[in-house]
Amino acid sequence: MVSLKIVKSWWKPAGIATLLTGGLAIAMLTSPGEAAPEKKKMVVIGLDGMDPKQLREHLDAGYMPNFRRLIASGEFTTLGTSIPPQSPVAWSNFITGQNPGGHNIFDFIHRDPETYLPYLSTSEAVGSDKSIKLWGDWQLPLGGGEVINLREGKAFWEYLDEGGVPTTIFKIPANYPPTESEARSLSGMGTPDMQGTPGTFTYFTTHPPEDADDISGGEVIDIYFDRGVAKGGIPGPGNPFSQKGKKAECPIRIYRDEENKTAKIVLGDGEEVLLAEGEWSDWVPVEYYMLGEEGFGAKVKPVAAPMGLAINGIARLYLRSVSPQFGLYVTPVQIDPANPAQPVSTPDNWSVELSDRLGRFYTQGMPEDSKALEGGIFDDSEYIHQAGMVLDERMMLFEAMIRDFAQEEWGFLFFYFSSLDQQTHMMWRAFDPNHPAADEESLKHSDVVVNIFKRLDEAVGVALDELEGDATIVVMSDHGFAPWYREMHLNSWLADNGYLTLKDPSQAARETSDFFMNVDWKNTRAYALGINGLYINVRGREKFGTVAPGAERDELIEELVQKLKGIEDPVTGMYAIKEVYKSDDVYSGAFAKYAPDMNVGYALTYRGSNESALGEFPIEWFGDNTGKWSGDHCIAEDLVPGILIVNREITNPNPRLYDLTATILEFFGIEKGPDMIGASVF
Amino acid sequence: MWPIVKAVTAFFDGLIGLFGGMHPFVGLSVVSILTGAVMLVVWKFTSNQKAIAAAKSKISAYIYEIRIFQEDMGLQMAAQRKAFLANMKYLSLAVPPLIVVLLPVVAILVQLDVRYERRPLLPGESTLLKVMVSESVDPGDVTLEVPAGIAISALPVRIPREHEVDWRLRAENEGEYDLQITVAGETVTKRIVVGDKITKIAEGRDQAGILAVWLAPAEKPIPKGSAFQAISFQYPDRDTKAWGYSLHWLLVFFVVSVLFGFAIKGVVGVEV
Repeated sequence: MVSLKIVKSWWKPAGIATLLTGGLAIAMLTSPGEAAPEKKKMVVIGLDGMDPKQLREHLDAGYMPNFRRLIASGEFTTLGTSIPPQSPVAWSNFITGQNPGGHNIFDFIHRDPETYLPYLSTSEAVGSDKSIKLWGDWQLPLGGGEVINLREGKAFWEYLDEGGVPTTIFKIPANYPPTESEARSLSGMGTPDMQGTPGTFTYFTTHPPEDADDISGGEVIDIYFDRGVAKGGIPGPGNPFSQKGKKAECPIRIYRDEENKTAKIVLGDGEEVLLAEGEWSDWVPVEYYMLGEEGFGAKVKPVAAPMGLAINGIARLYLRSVSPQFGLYVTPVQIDPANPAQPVSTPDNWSVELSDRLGRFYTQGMPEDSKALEGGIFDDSEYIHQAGMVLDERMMLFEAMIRDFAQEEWGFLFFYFSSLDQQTHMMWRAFDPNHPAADEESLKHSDVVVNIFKRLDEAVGVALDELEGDATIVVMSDHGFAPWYREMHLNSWLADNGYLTLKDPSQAARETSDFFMNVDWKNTRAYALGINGLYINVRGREKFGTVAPGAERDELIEELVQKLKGIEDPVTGMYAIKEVYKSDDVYSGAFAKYAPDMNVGYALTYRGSNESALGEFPIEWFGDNTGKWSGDHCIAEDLVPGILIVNREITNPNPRLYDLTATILEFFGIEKGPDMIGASVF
Repeated sequence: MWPIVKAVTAFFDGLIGLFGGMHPFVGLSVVSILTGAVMLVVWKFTSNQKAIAAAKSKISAYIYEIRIFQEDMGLQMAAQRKAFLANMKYLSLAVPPLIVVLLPVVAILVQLDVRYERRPLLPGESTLLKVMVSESVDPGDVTLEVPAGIAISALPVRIPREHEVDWRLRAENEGEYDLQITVAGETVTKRIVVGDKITKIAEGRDQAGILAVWLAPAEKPIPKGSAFQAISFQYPDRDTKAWGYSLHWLLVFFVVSVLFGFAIKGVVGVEV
């Protein structure tokens, strides 16, 4: 419409004069040095968990030629992380340019002060609460559910978008559902699978492990073969048509050939896959019929699908063994980017376009299946292989994104890699013989983490080859890494030191109850929840609060800070806690009031135990960490800074994550938000 | 019957092959235009043109009547009844020519379906070959030979209770290949196509009857009484885009043939 008006005006002398005058005015307003946006390019490569000490070692060893090339053209420094240094918290600092008091993500998990129960901090699924009850288990839902992103604060790409900067945000954590904006974005860490969980695999086997029911993050399904055929179902989302919330299932039939060590797997209505023992399939569609076989009878299927009552996911299958015992692993069923049951991108159809062009890909926030390794379904080699497939896929997408970006005149691109973080968590015991979980088997894979560094170096090489001289290239990580040798049961210490009272202090009760069920809240003053959070049971805030807000609370905090920093591990003689951060000191912003009262910064080689994080009370205060999850970063923040490498000078001597946010906006000449606390590093 | 089907298929091979190097919708549009033109002529000579013209005139007249006498409810109702009856008459006049054109149109649609509904495999892609045999044969005895250009990428899965044996094949090079499948001294072939050109492809080959061969014209049926019941694999769906949008070939065919038919009906002098 605008261009039409301009074309018409060309034929009128008055119009020409107007245009000339207007053009002159615009030219004057946009003279050099003024605020007109400069058409520049910046790419930020986010490498979750890249540790500066490890990076320096690998640089010195000559493994990282492209990093060296990038550093030679600019600078390499450490990047201050968040308190606590947990990924969702750290990335939210980066996204919003604020500390947790501004974005309301203080830990992986928060607690409801009414119930003291933990919940996932980053997003919340809200189902439809209105329905009409029908016969049997049927109901008719009168509305759809929704998922809410619990991160507060404005994302930096919303500012870029408002400033007209073409922006692409690829898989940034703590962004599910993706923040509404015109920018192209794909949701990252926090994106659930089709069950609505962070990732639940399915394992079909004729020989379930004894502790199958205790495996978290996966479902083990016992099957049997009748004349070569077994049947089962891949669990899916809760069925909104079931009053009991019964899960929908995708039927699966398995035909095995024991002599040839092969199997044919038939999914749903007929998708067929043939695998040999040890092979992975490509992505295959997994269809759930809400009125289907497992819910309400297979005969309804043909009617249900056209009514839109089928939802689609995708999965990859891995045939672990055919005989004598059969084992088939199915990845957590992903939201299909080509046909998303929930939006995973902005615009909604961007994931569809990507999928059409580049093939299907993992949409789950954390696709490396550490749960299958921890649950004993994968051995180390299998986990490394699966995580390697994730990295291969991410590299393919990265190369495509970078090549697209190279064709753009200007704009901003963020791209995220999760592999280093996940592999270092799981495989620290592979290159550290001193780790309690290191053994002959794990040490066979001593090069696994350095190999990830090398792959990420290749990624930086791609960016340099395509963009050097044309764009500002930023490589950063949200935090570093440390070994995790010893776990501390902080809640047990609180209980044994009179800060927390148990209803039943017997050993049996302590070891069997979870989620704080054994806590006598009316006689409790403090409790730990999450990996680093420590709460005072404040009267008027917590349901059964016992400590008065104000002076009494502050005195208790002071007392705990002193005592916690003096806790000595009787086995090692080391102090387990390096620092205790008082929220009143380190958080600012509208949501600081929801923070834990303290954050525990563990010392090197220590971390809070998973049991304590979820409200359990083992007898001992300390234990060896013999689990597969052997490296971590949820310790004192100054022990695990991230990295920052830029192909230009960095003037800020101690940059932190939220400084990078201000840097991006200032780079494009966009004023930072009023709540942002950082300053440009350039 | 097969020689006739084969001749018709060869005709379409030749016609669509003329546009082999062009966008898939070029050949499809030419077939659609020719179909529209031929069907229009067939319609002309198989329908009662005068009666159709009269029925259409009556419908127009009654519609005018409805518009003109809007205040007279009695006349309105009568005109609507007459328009409805005239419409029924018109539809009844359309039935004989529709029956005449239906069979050739179905045959054309089948010819287009085997070319545009799915696409050949691309090098690197895999498919699952499923061989169904009669109850008298052990599926474990079935053997498969593949030519260079196709690879067997896993040992077969033999499923005696289903009388079935499955192989996973991987396309390696472009070309048209015949797989050789043998059991009990009998060998049959199954054509597999690799490449990106528009060509006829058949997912299945079975013991089709005389009429059914019209619905599976890309490959000769398996002889009756064979030890093989059916041989099949899947080709990927063809996703053809025009101006950035995926368009199903059936939509293109109907829109182009109908629009062209309506465009030239005045020239040909046909009442539709």
